[in-house]
Amino acid sequence: MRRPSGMTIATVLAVAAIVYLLVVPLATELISSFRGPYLPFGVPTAKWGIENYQKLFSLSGGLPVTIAATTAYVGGAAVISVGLAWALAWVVVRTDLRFRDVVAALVLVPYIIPPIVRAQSYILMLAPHSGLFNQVLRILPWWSGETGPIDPFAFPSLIVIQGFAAVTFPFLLLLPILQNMDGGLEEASRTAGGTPVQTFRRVTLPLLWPATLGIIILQVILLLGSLEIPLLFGQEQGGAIFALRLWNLLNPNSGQLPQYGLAAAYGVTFLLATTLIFRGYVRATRNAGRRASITGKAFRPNRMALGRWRPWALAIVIAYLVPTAVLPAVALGWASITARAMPLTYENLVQHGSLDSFRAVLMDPEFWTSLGRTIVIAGGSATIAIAVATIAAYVVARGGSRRGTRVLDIIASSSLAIPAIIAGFASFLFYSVLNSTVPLLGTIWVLMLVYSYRIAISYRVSHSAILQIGTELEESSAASGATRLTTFRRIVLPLVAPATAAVWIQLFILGAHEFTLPAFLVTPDNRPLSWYLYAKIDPAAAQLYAPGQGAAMALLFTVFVILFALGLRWVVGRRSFARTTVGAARPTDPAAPDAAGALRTLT
Amino acid sequence: MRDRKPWLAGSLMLGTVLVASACSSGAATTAPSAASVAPSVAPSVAASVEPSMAASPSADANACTIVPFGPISRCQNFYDVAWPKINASLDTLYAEAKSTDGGQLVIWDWYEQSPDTVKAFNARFPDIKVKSQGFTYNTSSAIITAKAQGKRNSDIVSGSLTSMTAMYDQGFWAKVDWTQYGVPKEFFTIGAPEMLPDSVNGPLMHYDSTKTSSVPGTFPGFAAADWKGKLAIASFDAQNFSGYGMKNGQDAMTTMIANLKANGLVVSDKADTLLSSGDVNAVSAGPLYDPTPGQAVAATQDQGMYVQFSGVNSDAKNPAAAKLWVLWNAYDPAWLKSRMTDPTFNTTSEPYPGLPSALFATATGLMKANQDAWFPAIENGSTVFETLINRDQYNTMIDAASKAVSGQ
Repeated sequence: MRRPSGMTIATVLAVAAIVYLLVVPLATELISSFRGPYLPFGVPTAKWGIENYQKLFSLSGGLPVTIAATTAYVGGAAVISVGLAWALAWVVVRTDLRFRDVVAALVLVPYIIPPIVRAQSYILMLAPHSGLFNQVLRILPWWSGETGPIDPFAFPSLIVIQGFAAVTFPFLLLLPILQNMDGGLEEASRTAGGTPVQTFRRVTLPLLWPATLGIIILQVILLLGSLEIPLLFGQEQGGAIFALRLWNLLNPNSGQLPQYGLAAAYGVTFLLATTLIFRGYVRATRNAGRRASITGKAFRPNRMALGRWRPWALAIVIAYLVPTAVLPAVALGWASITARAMPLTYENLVQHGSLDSFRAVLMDPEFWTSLGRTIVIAGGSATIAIAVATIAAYVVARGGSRRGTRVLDIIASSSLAIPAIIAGFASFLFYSVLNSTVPLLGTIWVLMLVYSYRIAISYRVSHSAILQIGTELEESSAASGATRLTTFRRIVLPLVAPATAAVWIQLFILGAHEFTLPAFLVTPDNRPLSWYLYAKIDPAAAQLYAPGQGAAMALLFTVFVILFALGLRWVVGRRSFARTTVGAARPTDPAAPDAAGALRTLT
Repeated sequence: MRDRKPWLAGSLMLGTVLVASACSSGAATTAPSAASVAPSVAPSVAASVEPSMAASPSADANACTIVPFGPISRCQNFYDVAWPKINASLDTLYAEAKSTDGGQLVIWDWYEQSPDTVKAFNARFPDIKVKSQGFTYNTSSAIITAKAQGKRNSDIVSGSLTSMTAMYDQGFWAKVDWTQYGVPKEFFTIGAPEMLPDSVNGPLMHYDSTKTSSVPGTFPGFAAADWKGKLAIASFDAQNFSGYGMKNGQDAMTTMIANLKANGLVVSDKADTLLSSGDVNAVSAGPLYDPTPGQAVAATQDQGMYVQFSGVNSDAKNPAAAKLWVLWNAYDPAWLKSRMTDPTFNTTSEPYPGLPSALFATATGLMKANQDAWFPAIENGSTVFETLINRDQYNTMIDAASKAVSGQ
């Protein structure tokens, strides 16, 4: 029998890893939904049955209300966020607006601040009486009184707040799409006498519609697992939103045990929904290549002159950025120099402002320990995801249209359909079952494995990057006697490195901020910084409660993440340039996959 | 014929001693029996019974001098009669604990123990390595799950009667006779014998006294027009209304909550921030942990109160270390003095009121603020204590309150 090649072994390992990271936890959740109301094992109530689904589909289970509330919340927020992202990306890429780079950087701010601390800044901005944003609005002639006009606890407000808070991700996806769109077709339309509105409606929109639909669908799936806004503002009117419903089932009040079985039934039901949504995403993006505009050497994005509309466009952009980027950063800074929450006034600054919180944080050994853990967990999980996904992408990209490669393609992309809260809960159930045999609970390794579930992002990027590489290079390598593994390692990997490095940085940032995934697995021995931070700002933490230190920690952490990511980008950029000046491909050569185009491949 | 006089004299003496000791134990037990009856009837009944039972110094020098404190029996001479034996027990337990399971002690509690608390413990017991984690309401679940997972479990179990229901009913409280370590038997009138009472807790109405001079003394009082939109509560504090339900009935409680919601009750898990920022004038929460000057707390008529208990996990790897921590944390006078007076420890829980009043007279800062709000309410009978008898009903009330607050 012929010994399997190195590439075959690598492929088997990658497929096994994908199945382990994605399929096994979900299978555990499915089993748990049929195994009693509490734990699926080890307790007297762990018996097979359909009671969880009976309860779910009964009136008291709340499923119809949950579906209705979640659809309104997630759908509304997705439309708002993608709409805003579209407008901002358009303005940044396709117009001559001044300070475009500053605008692009400020849109990233909400993405960089840890989510659980962002929530603190939202309260400081949107509190009915003292909220900075409400105070600013009350200056305007249309509103008066001592509170409002925005009531952050009303259900419609939840949708708008979530929509505004979730702009960054679709913005990042849209930027490269608009950058790589050739303006020649629009130019032709204008030359033929089309007005800007007609050109937009009949040329631009049809060109970008599949990508935009893909982004909306992605955003819907992401928002399904988003917990911070419902947790903060939704306890009155948003209790039926899926993420909060699941959270409340798993964090019961006094005397009760968490309803793991019912939560698993909810999770399975919503996973079916997101799978259907994901299929819509795949269909929407399947033919996107047909609408791709040509990117030749002479290509340059077409910028529209705003003319007299320029100051208005800038004013509208500022009106968006102030409450979403500037004020949260200000609120966070304010919280970090005051020990407890208080209105932002000059008097309070003079009387209570100090850097004591920063001093306490920098001298806190647990801060440094949990920061170190965060770097290891986020870096390790990003590496695992990239490694597994890149091998799978190579196998699929070079494997033709065989059934096996199609199945692998679907499974590798499927993590897009799994909201973080379901992934975290499913992982908790799986590792609980596994722990008596393989004791991983309470270690950083379990978190590293759980965080690695986001394979789809790196898979899709790697897949597109590999497709851009001509097969002649690999054929030459094979003709020279190199094995497939050697060709993969020495030809393919260096060429896709810029794209995968960009995704590594993204995954690292996502992992560094992760709050939902480790919610059920965190202990003081493996606690990442996001959870130590949470203990500082959560009053129920009692002895650890120190909101000023929590805000200071968040600021320091944010600065660290920015510096780390910028440093990585600089290193990767230098290595890519060095490689391309020596090798055949130049940076502008469309055959060389680059980081700027990496995210385009998600759509 | 034998002389009967010595025999008679001896009998008379023995009889005198027996009668005297019966009188003294009767004096010591009369108050506790009233206190043990009290939880099954309204505390106000106990209070009306209690005043006739003034502190009565015992004829037995080793017995507690009991003063009733609501349904709790306060042992005024605790540090004379009970502490010496407990202290001696600590040394014995320490020797056993440090040679068990590598001296490790795992504490899963409502909140994580601060490094300063662990340091204070290690100052006396340096060879015990403490690992702590906070689970709030999920403490029961974490302990039950750990056993199912085959994981190293907490050595200590703790909670109020309602918060510990699941793990108690599933047998996680090891049957420990605390009296053999010197704890007075009068302390075991509210919980079961294996539950060592170590603190007391309950809701409090928080407000900024620099902006709000006072708050209503009753929950329905917050439904007045001038409190519209001015009261907030976190979703996990909905149980604060359960005492009202226990006193007045579930329907009355849900109606009261509905009236508060109609009057703009704000439900947010950042209710404390809303109070600090001035968006609301009061927040129904737990103990005060905010040392900002001007922050004040007040009890509310018919609110709940909970004795917090600690015990040994039946799945513990180091039971000796668990007992060591539990006894030290609950009764060590040097440690309790630190908690009462050192701001570093102001956010630890209020010690069990069965301890002498002299201890509580030393309280400063947040400890004093909390006990000044709770203790008069306990003494005048306007609180409803959780007991073993009303526990299940209390759980039902808590569930109903949570659903009413969240609008389910």
